[in-house]
Amino acid sequence: MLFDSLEYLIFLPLVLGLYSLFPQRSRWMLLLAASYVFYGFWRIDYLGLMLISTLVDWYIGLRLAQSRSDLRRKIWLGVSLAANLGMLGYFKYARWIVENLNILLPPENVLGLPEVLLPVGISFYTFQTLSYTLDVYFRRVEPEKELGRFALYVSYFPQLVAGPIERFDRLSPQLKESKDLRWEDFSAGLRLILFGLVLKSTVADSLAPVVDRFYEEVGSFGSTDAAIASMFYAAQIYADFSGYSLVAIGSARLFGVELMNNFAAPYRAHSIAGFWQRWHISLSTWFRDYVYLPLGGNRARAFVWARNILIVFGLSGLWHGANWTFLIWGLGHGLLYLLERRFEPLLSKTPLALRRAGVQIGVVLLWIWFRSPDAHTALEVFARFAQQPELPRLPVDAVAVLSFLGLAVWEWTAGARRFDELIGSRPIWLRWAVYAVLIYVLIAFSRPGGADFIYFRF
Amino acid sequence: MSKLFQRLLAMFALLFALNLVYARFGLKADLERYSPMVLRFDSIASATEALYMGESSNWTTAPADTDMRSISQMVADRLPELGLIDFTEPATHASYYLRLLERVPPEAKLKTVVVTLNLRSFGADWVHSRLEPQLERQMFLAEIKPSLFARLRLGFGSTVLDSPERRERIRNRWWDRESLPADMPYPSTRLWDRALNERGWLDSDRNRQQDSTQLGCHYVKSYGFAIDTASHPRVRDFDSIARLAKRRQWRLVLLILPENIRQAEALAGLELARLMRRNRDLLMARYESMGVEVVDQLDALPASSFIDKDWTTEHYNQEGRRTIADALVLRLNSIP
Repeated sequence: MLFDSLEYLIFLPLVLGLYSLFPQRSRWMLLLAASYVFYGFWRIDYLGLMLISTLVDWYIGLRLAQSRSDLRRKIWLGVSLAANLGMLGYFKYARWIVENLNILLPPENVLGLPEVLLPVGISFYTFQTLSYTLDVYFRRVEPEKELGRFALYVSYFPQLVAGPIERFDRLSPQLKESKDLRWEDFSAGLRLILFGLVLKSTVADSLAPVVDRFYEEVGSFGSTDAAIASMFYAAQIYADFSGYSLVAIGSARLFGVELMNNFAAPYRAHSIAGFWQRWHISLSTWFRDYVYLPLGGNRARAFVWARNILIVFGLSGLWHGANWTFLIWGLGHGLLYLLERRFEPLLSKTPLALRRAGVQIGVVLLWIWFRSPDAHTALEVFARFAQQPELPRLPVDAVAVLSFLGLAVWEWTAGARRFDELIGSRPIWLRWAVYAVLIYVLIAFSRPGGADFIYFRF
Repeated sequence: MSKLFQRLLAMFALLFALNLVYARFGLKADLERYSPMVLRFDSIASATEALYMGESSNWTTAPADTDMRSISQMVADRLPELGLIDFTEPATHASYYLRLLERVPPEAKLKTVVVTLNLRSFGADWVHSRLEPQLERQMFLAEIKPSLFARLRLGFGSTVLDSPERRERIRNRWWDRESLPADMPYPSTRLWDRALNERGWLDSDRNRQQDSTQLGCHYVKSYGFAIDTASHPRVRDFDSIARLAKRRQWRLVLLILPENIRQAEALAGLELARLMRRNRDLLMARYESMGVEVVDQLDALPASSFIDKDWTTEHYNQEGRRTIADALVLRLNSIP
């Protein structure tokens, strides 16, 4: 089920209504059933994968807690990693690996390409269950004894298919608490959902056709169009994913559950490190806690540290998709990060505005790798920039321009404050005026047949 | 509780006001963008005395044609006093004709309505066509009230409930379950299609011709049905059109479009041609008994008049279009 669908606008109030009627001790069952219905709307047969992941990690969590032997604990952890990463590897990377192997193999030994459909949200819930097993392994959390409650942690519908990737010690206690519905939560949740939907259905979806048109036929456009498409894509992916995250956070908030913030004005960052502290925060902190720090973090020698940085960014790139372009995108960020650290004394004397502009240019140019279907297309886009500027030919309509400008103004003025924080304390007339404008913009300017959420592909 | 009630009330008031704003300032632009078919119909129907409603059969031409006029244009040229204007939109059918005709304002000067009746449009392949959601979307903003709610549904992609995959499943089920008359060689469309596919279409040397086999199967799926007048959606729509015309005192002419019966017969057998004619007879009798004038052209054209030789379409060359126009002129010239 998509957040920007009428089904969800019916499903959510329905679940909320039932939740308020259920006795507190059994509310988790309702949420679990609702989460499976939510996921099953996409493909019911792939629910099995999530159930396998749930069962494996729940059982291993218990075994990890019971085992006294380090070796056994390591074996159990290995089983969990193999099961989760094996599943992720098969569904997400098998085809890509075989394609690349086939390039190396003689034509007579070429392997058949596996026909697999990527299950929606597999990268998200796999990382969520993995974080649980690792936390139990490192004795940061106690294992969950009740399978049903653990299943709810894995499948909680607001954040199931595209995050935020929540940690067990943060989400599970809130789900157990099964709070009564409160007006404060309800109003804050609705504000977030409204703003998130505007970001997705109006802003991102109005920019998407311009970007798609450019990438359909890169060779027929000039440098000005390349610049417009690149900037629009930076805005589109931000509005798309942060919009999704806000709807997820808002939906959970209706039930009194606080999910972590996933974005904090990333384009206002004046360093690459800052950008990653503000962009897809739940994923970057996941990589920090479960990859970067176990590799030695910043306590390692310079060379090892640089290698660790590139590993983390490279993996982060590959997490997004099985394509060299994602790897290059991730490594590109890693390299910028290393350069930034190398020239930190010089950069610290540079005016903040210049640094910010530099970060924005770097990030926007790297998005080209992220958006391009292959390296050839990405290089072709870069080649466009070398051409003489000319009048743009992309079909840019007023809604797209206003969406882009509106997002820029919002990013600049609101900063890291969330919409609900910013508007919640304003006078009632102002709040309602803003709601009216947003509802109107959402309905009257949403694009019929808008694009799917970009992060659903991951 | 009263606070909640106040807020709900305020929300409804807000939505009501926003709907007024949208209807006043946003709807027209959205209709131009998402429902051009409806706007075009509105402007035509309010300005003419005679209307020709059809699909691509009206204006599709063959490469060798020298006369590029559409059927309706040929009629209009022959009967200038009628003031016939066409409204043709690819893949449309009776459901859209009905819904559009219902929009004709009472003060309009419309007197004569020619509606094409395309036998193939009664088949499962057309009823559950993949083009249907696009057409449906065009009607959406114009029909659903309040407009703001229609726009919300349009934006959130819920204009038609059936996905293309579901439409395909329903269509396949229809073929599986279509119950054919006892004198047909097979009890259902699906079994007929399968049998023809297995047997293959054999040329004079008894060699299987794959292209002809596939086309024959396509004919079976396109025309291998027996119209149930009690439940068929197209019949329901044509019935409503007939009632609407009677109520509005329009002269209604149903034009049964030619189908390539000879090719159907050659590829799928005599029985299919018989079934097509039987369906035609059923519809003619039904609508003539309702006081509708029916121009039957089902069998009127030779195979050479059909442009598409490897698919079932109602696309005719200039001779075909002329033949149909002649028949229509004859009927329109007669006193109703």
